[in-house]
This record gives sequence, structure tokens and C-alpha cells, in this order.
Amino acid sequence: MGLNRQIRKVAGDWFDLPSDVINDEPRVEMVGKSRLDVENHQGLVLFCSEELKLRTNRGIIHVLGKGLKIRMINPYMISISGEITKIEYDQ
Amino acid sequence: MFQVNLSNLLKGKLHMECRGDHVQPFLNHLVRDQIELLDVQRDSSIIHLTIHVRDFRRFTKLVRKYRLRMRIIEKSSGLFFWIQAQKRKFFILGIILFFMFLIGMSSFIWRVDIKGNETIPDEVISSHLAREGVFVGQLKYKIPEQDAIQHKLLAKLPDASWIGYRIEGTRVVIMIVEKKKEEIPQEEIPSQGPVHLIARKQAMIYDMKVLQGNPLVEVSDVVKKGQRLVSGFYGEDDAKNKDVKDAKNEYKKIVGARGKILGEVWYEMNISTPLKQEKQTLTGQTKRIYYPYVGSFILRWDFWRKPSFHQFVKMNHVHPLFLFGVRLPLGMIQENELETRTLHQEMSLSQATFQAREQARNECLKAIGKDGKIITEKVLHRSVENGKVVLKLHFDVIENIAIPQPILQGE
Repeated sequence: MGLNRQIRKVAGDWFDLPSDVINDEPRVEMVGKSRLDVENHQGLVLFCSEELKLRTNRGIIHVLGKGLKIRMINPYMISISGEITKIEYDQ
Repeated sequence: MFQVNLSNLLKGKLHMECRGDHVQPFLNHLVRDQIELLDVQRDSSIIHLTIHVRDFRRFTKLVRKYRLRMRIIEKSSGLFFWIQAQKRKFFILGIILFFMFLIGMSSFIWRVDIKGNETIPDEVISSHLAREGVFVGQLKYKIPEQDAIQHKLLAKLPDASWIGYRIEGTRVVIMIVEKKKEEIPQEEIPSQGPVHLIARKQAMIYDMKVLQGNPLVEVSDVVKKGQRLVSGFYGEDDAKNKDVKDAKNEYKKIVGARGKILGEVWYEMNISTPLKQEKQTLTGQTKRIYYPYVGSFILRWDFWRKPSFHQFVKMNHVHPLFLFGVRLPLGMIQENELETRTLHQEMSLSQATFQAREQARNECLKAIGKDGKIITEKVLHRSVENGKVVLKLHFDVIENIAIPQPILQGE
């Protein structure tokens, strides 16, 4: 895995490709405070209206907010709406 | 953003409510099993979510596994069209209106074509059709039966012998076959009142057209001058047996004879033409003089003027003055003096003969009237006397030999 990742990194640098495409790294996109899209997640850990935990290959993304709602979730991406107050990586 | 999949849109969606103690692991399991979830909301032990219908079976398995209670709140129809339709109401309305418009417009008559008529004007036919209910703008289903239209039109158009009628979409096609007209309309031979028709001269009957009366002769009969050809009495002609003088005879009715009796008659004609002829021809030289006139009074002041040509003819044109389209009693007279020249012409014998025959033919035709025609023409004798060609001609002609003779009371 380690070698594989390094080859991927070299190839990505070589072809100037974004690392989320190459390495399955999470790509987090936030629109204002009300909307959050995460691509390349690896599953849901916790979800309630105030809190959401999402597993990625860089650790767990921890989202805090009010009235959180999953607009959509499938194996590739998750789209969250609600009032988001905090995002952090839990190692 | 969303991976909009057509197959997802075509399939239905279910809005579910699940409640139980193990909601969180259930949710994690759903994601792990790669079941797509939409609109997930969680209130501690109650979870609302929407799934695709195709995932329903896997979903219920997990529900049972985690011992949750499940309830379907809403089922949305899977038809893509219906989903779109809900979004685009006016588009759907437009489609419906379009078809309604199409059906509506095609249920009218847009054109009436009339074919095959030569003497009957289109307007006459179309006005009759309109009275029957076939006109542009009429609703198709209001048009009467095909047979009825054909029958009624035939009754109204006596000059038509057949009428075809059919509808081609929004077009009505009328085919008309006209009757052939009789050659001689009856009006050509005028009625002369209560008369007999008698022979004007001796002739052989060539043809008879008797419209009224009782014909007494037949074709190929030779008749003498004054012979009665057509009797003005109508009814049984037993004049020989019965007393004709009996005016009260019920069998007889005076109708007056009317008709044409064409007889073959011979004519002999003498005609002469000089070989030397003088002719006046125009030279093309003209002079125009204008005089004013008021009413019938012409103002002329050039009486002392010498005539412009040695030989000439005068032609006058009146040019009245018009004021706002009203003719005024004054204006100008244009007098054209056309110079003429006398031509002395000497003709050959054959030329003179030809001219003489032409002249004789014209005279003969004038004598036998408009019903007459020349069958044969023959030169009997030709001689030249004193610079003239003298011809003796024979004409065999057909002419109307009937003249009216009044029926006298007591005859």
C-alpha cells in the first residue's frame, strides 16, 4: 500500500492531477454555512441532528451544527445541509 | 453535484420512518451496504429517510436485523414523465392544448374545390353547397350525408348530369359533369302567332324543324309555291273527313305553327364585272384642321382656304370638353383631310371571273338569309362583252322556305 501510494503520488505530480482524484483523499466542499459535500468518504460513523462523523482515509471528519440533515449519501459522496458550525479532523 | 441517473428517476422512491434503539448502527450498515439514501433526518431514536424502490428488499432485511419498526410515509410515482410533468405544468398544458388545437382545427372544412364545371359558375355551385351546409368553416360532423348532398345538388343544378362529392381531410371536392347542350335552343325560332307555314317558292324539302304545329310534308317532298307545309291546328288532322269550318270542333286547337323548313332551291344569276377598274386609295398624306364648336354651331373662318390636296376624303372626329366627367356642349372638331389617288387597274379574265363569282356568292347569300347555305355553285356561261366579263351562274342552295300565313276565321 505504501509503495502503491507513492507511485500514485509521483504519477499525480507528473501529470499534474489533483490528489483527490489520485489518492482517494477526501474532498470537502462547503457552501456558506448551510451546505457541505464530502467526496471519497469511507462510511458513516455517527449521525444525529447536531453531529456527524464521517470516516475517510485521512481520519474522521467531525461536523458539528444544528438541524443537520443528509441530503444524500451513497458510497462515493455525502451531501449535508443544515447550520454547520464546526468541521475538524479527528485523528 | 448529484449523480442524476435516469434509471433512478424512472424508478420510484419511498419515504420511510424507522424507530428503534439501534438506529445509528443501522444507518452505518446501510451506508456500508452501498444503499443510496436521500433526505436523512434523525431525532434520537426516530429516523426519516428516502430510499429507492429497488433497494427496498435489502432495506427491510436490515430493518429486521436491527429490530426497528418501519413505516412507509409516502410513495412517489416512479414515472420520469410524471416527475417532470409536476415541475413543468405549463409545458404539459401546452402539449394538451396543441393536440386539442390540432383536432379542433382539423374538424373544420378549410377548402371547397369545385372541379369539372365549364358553364356553371363556381359561385352558383358554392352558394347551393352553402345552403346544404357545405362551406368553408363548417364543422365536419355537421355536413349531411354524401348521398343527400349529391341528390339535392343534382336537383338544383339542371345543367349537371352527375355530381361527385367527397371529403379529403379538411377539403371538400365536388366533381361536376355537365350536360351537353342542345345545338339549337328553342328561342331561335320566334313565334308568329296563329299561323300556318306555307312554302315561299318551289323547293325540295331538305330538313324540317317544327316546334309547333302539325307538319303536312316530309323530307324529300317537292313542294309548290304556296303549299301549306305546317298546319297551325293541333290535334288529329282529319280535315278531309270533318267539317273544318266547324270552329267548335273540340279536336282542333289553334296553336300556330312554328318552325323552320329548309328547302333545296335553285338560283340562276347573271353578273358582270368590268375588266378595267378604278380604285381610290389613300396615299398616306393627311392634314388636320381643328374647329371649335358650341352646341350645334361650328365656328369656321377658313372658307377662303384652298383645299390642301387635289383629291381627298374628309374624316371628322368630335372632341368634346369634359368638366368633372360631365360632357360640355362645346369642344373641338378635328377634321382630317386624307389625300387619295385613283388607281386604274386592268384585271385578267380569270381575276375578273373570280371577283364576279365572289360578288355573286355574296349576293346569293344575302338573298337566302342567315339560315341558308350554298351547296354547289356552277358557272353556266362566260363571255366578254364591251370590256366586261359576263357570267351566268347557277347556285344550288338550302334556305328557309317557310313563310307564315295567318289562319283566318271561317277557313
